[in-house]
Amino acid sequence: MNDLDSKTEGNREYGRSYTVNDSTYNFSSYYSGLNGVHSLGLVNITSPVDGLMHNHFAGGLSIFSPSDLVSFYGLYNSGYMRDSKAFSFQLVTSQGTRYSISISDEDKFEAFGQTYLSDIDILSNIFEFLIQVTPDKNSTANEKAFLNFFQSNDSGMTLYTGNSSFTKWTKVSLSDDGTIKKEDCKED
Amino acid sequence: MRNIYLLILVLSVTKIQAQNTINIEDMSGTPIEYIGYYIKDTRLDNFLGTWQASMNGGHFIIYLEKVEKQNLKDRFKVDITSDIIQAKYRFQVEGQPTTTWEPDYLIKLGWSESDIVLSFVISDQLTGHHYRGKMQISDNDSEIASFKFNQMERIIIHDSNGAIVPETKGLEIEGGIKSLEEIKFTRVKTN
Repeated sequence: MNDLDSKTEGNREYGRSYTVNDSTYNFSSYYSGLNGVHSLGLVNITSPVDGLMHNHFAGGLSIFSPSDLVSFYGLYNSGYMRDSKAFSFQLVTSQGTRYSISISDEDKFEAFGQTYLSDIDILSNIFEFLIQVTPDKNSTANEKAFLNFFQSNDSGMTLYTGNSSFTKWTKVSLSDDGTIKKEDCKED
Repeated sequence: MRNIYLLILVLSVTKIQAQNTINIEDMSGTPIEYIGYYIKDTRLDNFLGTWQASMNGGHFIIYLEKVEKQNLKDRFKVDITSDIIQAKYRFQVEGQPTTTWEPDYLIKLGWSESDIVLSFVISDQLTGHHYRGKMQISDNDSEIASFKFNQMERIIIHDSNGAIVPETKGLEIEGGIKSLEEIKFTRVKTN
């Protein structure tokens, strides 16, 4: 992911998928979008993978976008997650945020997905109007609003933040008093 | 019997009053924090009416109307009621018979960000992108407005059958949504 992190300084999106066998990561080659366009076209996902990572460059969201989440649900529905509970969907942004989401409760995720992740129009309006997760808000405000939406709707997903070297991941959630709660959970 | 009617009346009035109302400018957080509320948005009145701009030898005409107390539960599964703006549009060539409004709305759900900025989400058939749309009334002239569209981040995953998430149908405007950024709109009618 360090390599992907350096690409957030550019002006295009990059991404790649990977599989893990006996603790060895096998990465696909990079896919990239067009210069100055906040879009990434990924091709050749023809067999299940263990993870997918991509970046948002300057001007993009500090957290997962509606399209990211709809695609995450699409990967689940299409059977492209080798192990849905271990699958990691990771994001690095130019604001310095490093996130990963995974499915923690499959039943809840399916229900949440059917309601909110099946229609990009609805989710886009939710982001812009209802929870106001936008590029002009700071990353902490976006993170809180994102978690509020996830938790108040029993999304069945867990959000993690990564350290600068991507060796340590911390589970983040929203406490009842509205503050962000962090729990160290795994180290690579 | 009269007492029963009176009781029903009192209960009905109580129920109507039970919904809290908050003015959009007084909100301290985002709408999702106001479940059960009615979000009142009087700033939307600043945008209402018929707006027109010269384009490709004709006029691009939009009509903005306010929908009061729109219940958003069907759309977002969240019990929030809000005033919103909807906008329909049509293109009129000079000297040709009057055209009818396009069946799809240009703005399906618009909300005020300030006295002069209206926000909404729009999808473009030409590029396939969703955009964060803003309609901004000029600082100097409340009868002049312009549009700005910023692309929302998008990821497309394909397999051998094509995109794994079906594409949605966007708005078909000649030259694409972004072409509306290049023209200035003037309010020609205020209703």
